[in-house]
Amino acid sequence: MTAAPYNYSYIFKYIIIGDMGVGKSCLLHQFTEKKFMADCPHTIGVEFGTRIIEVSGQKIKLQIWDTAGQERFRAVTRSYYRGAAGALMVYDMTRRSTYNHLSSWLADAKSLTNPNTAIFLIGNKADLEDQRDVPYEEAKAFAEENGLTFLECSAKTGSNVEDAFLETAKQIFQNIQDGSLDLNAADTGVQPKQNLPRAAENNGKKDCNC
Amino acid sequence: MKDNGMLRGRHHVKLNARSGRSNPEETLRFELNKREKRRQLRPSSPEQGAVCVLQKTEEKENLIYLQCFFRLGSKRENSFFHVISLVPRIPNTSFLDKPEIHSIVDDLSLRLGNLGDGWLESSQTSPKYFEFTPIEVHAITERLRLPEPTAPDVNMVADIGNTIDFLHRVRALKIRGQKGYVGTSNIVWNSLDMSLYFCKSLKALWIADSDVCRINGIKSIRETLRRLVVHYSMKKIKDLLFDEEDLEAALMVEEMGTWKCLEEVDLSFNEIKYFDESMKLLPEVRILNVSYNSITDIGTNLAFLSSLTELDLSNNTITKIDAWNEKLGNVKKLILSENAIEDLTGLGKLYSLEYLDVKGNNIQTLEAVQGIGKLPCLEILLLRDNPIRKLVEYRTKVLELFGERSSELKLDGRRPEHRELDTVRVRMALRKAKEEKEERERRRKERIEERIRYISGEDVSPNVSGSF
Repeated sequence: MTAAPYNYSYIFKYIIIGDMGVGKSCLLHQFTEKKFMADCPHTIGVEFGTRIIEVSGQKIKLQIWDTAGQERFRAVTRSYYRGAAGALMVYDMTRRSTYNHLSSWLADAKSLTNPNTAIFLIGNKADLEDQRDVPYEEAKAFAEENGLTFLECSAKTGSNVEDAFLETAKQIFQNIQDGSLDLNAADTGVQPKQNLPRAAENNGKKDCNC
Repeated sequence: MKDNGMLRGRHHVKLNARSGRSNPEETLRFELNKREKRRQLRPSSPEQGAVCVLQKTEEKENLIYLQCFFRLGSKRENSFFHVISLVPRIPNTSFLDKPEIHSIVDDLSLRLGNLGDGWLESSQTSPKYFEFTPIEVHAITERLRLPEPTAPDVNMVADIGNTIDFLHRVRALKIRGQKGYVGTSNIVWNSLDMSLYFCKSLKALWIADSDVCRINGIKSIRETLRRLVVHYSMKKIKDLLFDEEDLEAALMVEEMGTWKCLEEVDLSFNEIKYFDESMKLLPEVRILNVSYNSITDIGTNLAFLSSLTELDLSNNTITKIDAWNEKLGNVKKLILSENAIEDLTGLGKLYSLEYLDVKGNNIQTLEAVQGIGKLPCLEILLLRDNPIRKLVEYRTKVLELFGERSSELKLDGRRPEHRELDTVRVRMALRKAKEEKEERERRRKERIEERIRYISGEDVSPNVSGSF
């Protein structure tokens, strides 16, 4: 079979978390559509996006759950943590309060995901350098302290956005390769896809040719 | 069909119950039967404790049952159907309970995880609709509201992400309900809330037998939808076209987002009475079919369909056509068959018309048709099944109304024959001669009258001249 767009070997489940208005949905949109969404509405509950990427020659599909930052949705969004292979924790580098809340987001992420979940720290809005409220070094130190990977990106210009998602995938893939992530374990957030016999069961009632 | 299947299933159970149950599916049916019986026996007395215990055991059974079901689900189509049909519902509570929602969505997710990609891929080469029942869409909608993990199983093969991912990418969706109740429950098919919010690539949507008032998430689909078909599901067009959020924000129609790509709309077989202001949201619609509805008057809102070229209003209750050129834009094809129209004069200035179908109306006289004789582009006219057909030499008389263009007109599916055209030409010549003669006569009379006035001194116009 030729390289069909749906031929991929794994599905990785991601979540994006962080305070309201830090640009989570914009990051997702930039990553999936390669476009900046200027007036992005508040997310209600969750948003969803997918993209197929390639890591070390393997096609991987990312299923990304973009959660609402608003406190009132916290109960609903918490339910998406379980079984996430990767978590992108986002703060707004022009608003210190969003950085200060990271510990609470991290606590949630640590307690609700499995120990192998790759957590990535993202300082968004890097294009607004002159309004910077959180020094790079400080965030970097925080990341190191907690064993997170860290990048500053901009959903507006798209800088580093791709890397954040790809690096996370690489980390997860690495974990699979070196065996630290056991695919048979529970809630890994990784779904291996065998080469499915295509169209084998395609003749069900659901196929309505009209 | 399905109901019959169910019944057969139950008979089957009875037989099997006696003959010893061999496979899990039959066991399942046996359980089902037992449970139903017990429900019927359920006491209505206020023995709370007893009922409570009963409920508890039932819940447990329910779970076991559903687990069994889940295992079977992958092999069977529409497996949830049986689950739901079990349980009569108390009105005004949630239609599905949690285990049901889970069982339906998990089953879907499992199947879509396995087959979704393949289906989507093959649908790209040969476009086809994917069909959901309202129950399925409802369950997905409800499932997303539940604060629960995305996957029911540790391996995540039935992760709801599979379903959402599929919805994200599917291009043609069919939601087909049914009349009446779901199975033996008292859930009404078309009373289920459904959200299409996660359908981000939908090009075609087909809805039948499910109340459009219950559909939300319009915001997503109005960005991408090209073709919309709705049957037996709507009373007012705006119930579907307006987005719930826009309404909550109390936006004016002019401020609402339009259906950017929608080109073809088929709303036949509904109960639409008029075209409401939601027409303003359809700037790109080229083809509109509103046949088999209850429209008596088209009102003024169709004018907002600035791209409309084909309009089907057949099988409605239209009686009058009044200056439709002011209400319709550049419409080329107009189907008005099976209405109660008596007069076509109101179409006389709809100069864009190329195709006019007025079969099965109440057109009686030539005068009623005369108005359209001047339409410069009309090529096809269908007048069959009207009282006017009883006129002697109906065809030539109608053709004659079109004058020089009569040879280009296809009347009732037939081009005029030579003989007919000859007759028309002769009649036209005669009429012309007659008209000229009448004109001469009229002028002469005028002059005489003026002369008389002049002579009798009533009028002293110096311009009057000439002789008798």
